[in-house]
Amino acid sequence: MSTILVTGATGGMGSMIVSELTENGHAVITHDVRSTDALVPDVTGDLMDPAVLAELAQRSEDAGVSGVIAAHGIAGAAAIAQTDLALTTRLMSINTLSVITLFDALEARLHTSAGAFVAISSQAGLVAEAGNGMYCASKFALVGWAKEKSRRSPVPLRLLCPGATHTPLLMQSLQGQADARGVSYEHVLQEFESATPAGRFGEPAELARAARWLVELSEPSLVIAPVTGGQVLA
Amino acid sequence: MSDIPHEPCVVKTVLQEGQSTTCTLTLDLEHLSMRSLLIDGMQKLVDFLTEAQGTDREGAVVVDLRVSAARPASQPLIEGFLDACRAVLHSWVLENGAAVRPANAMVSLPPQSIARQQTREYFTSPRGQFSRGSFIDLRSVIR
Repeated sequence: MSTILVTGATGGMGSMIVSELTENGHAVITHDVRSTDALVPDVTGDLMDPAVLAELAQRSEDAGVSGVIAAHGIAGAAAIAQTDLALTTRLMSINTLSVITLFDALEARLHTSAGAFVAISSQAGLVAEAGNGMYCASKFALVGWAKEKSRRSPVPLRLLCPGATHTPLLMQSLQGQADARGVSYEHVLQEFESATPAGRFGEPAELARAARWLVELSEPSLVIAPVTGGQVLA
Repeated sequence: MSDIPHEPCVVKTVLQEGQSTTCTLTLDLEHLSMRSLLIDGMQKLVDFLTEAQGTDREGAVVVDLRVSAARPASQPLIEGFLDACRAVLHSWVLENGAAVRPANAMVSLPPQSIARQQTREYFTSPRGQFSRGSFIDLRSVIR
């Protein structure tokens, strides 16, 4: 049995990842920015807070963590012309900077345990979208960083890039894109569904299985895995 | 690089009706924090594109990124920043492609070997060479 650290553990995808891991024999350390009725994480707080990061690192060391799944993130759809500094700060801080900071904090631990670092990026980290530019940028940044970091770090890096998946985050994003483009929510929903070769959205449980596969995989050192129903392949 | 100013992040925009609209985004990573690069750098690019959106309808929109970094350890962050720029530019073109003329969006990004402090400039885009709303990433050309 191995111990995996999961961030964003109370979210739509994070909670499914926690279930997937525990049902398959892993121990889990959970983190999120706050507790919910369904889950009180082992560690709560802002990942950009050095004290929170230090607590996570210490807990990971004590438990001999041998894998990390960074499943936290936020949506933030807006046209480029409507993107202000507050939105840029939120998206880049939470979706990008906190992931990089988390990796830096746990790189030595994962190197010791030969464990992998998995981050949830997005299909929007591979192909840009109208009305969602800075969110795409925050996910593209993870991809660019991971490609180069994997050449310099002994820790295996994996990015899971989900397409449209039934989570509250996606519904929030689609509404934002609809507002940014001046079209209806149903219009954006229909666009996404018709553009998916599989003909349907993904389910969080499917993504959770993919995340478990990625964190258990011993090789290769870098994997960027689109799970998009065939909409984006690479 | 002798032309990198003391300010860590500088944007110089040239907005001219009927000609190329150029944004020169100069980033001195010796003095920029990770946070400043990914937040302030990105917002400056957004602000430029928003300004250019209402000004230029004829020539190319050129984003000329000049990045200076002597620390190889900065390279993963730089690559992340460059990919983020690509995303913003591509989203902007998708949002505005129908409203602007051909040959209207182009980005000049530095080559990967930033650790060797290489920088190049690509300012010109022959009008009509690209289709409506085209997005050209010159990294593949200049590597």
